[in-house]
Amino acid sequence: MPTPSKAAPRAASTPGHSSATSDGASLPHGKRPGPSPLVTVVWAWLIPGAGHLLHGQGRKAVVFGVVLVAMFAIGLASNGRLFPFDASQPLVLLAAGAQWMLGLPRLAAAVGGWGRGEVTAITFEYGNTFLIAAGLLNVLVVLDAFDRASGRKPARDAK
Amino acid sequence: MTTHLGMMCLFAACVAVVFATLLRDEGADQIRLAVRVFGGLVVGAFAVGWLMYAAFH
Repeated sequence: MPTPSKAAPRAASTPGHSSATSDGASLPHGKRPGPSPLVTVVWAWLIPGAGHLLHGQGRKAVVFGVVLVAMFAIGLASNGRLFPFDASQPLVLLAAGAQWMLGLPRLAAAVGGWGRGEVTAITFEYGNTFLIAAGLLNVLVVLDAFDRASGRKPARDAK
Repeated sequence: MTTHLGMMCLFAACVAVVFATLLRDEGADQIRLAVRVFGGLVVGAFAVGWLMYAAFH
């Protein structure tokens, strides 16, 4: 008759291995004190890097904030276009969704009336590429912040 | 900066920094990965460019 394994309770009592998901899988780094994953995701979407800042990763937060906002600014300065949500043009719809992944910078650009796009400018396509890529990269940053908030990754900067 | 090469290098540098910061925690590892991603993007762009040139000319 097989005996129940004692490995799982031992692993659960190890520091840093104390939490478990609802489906029974243990989270390697445990739940962290701080904002919930949902709050972290909202802040990370609104301000690039804010999600990491909330979980003690100041250096990464600064890098994400500076680089992603700079990419967005370069896109605008290169005569890129801020695309509208236009369901009749699927590619425009996708581009708009990607750009809106940058949260506040995209909102500020919309309010400020920037990003009308000048098709005849030599840098028009470059600008669009920067604007769209900045939003898509922020999706990856938001997902990483979610992982850290939910305990799947360490929440502090490496020493 | 309106040259193809300049814009490509600027874009590759931004993407490389974000990916390196996302995927590595140690500073030295981040620099190594950023250099590799940057090099891969630039070399890949040149390779694809020459391939397209060879295919369509």
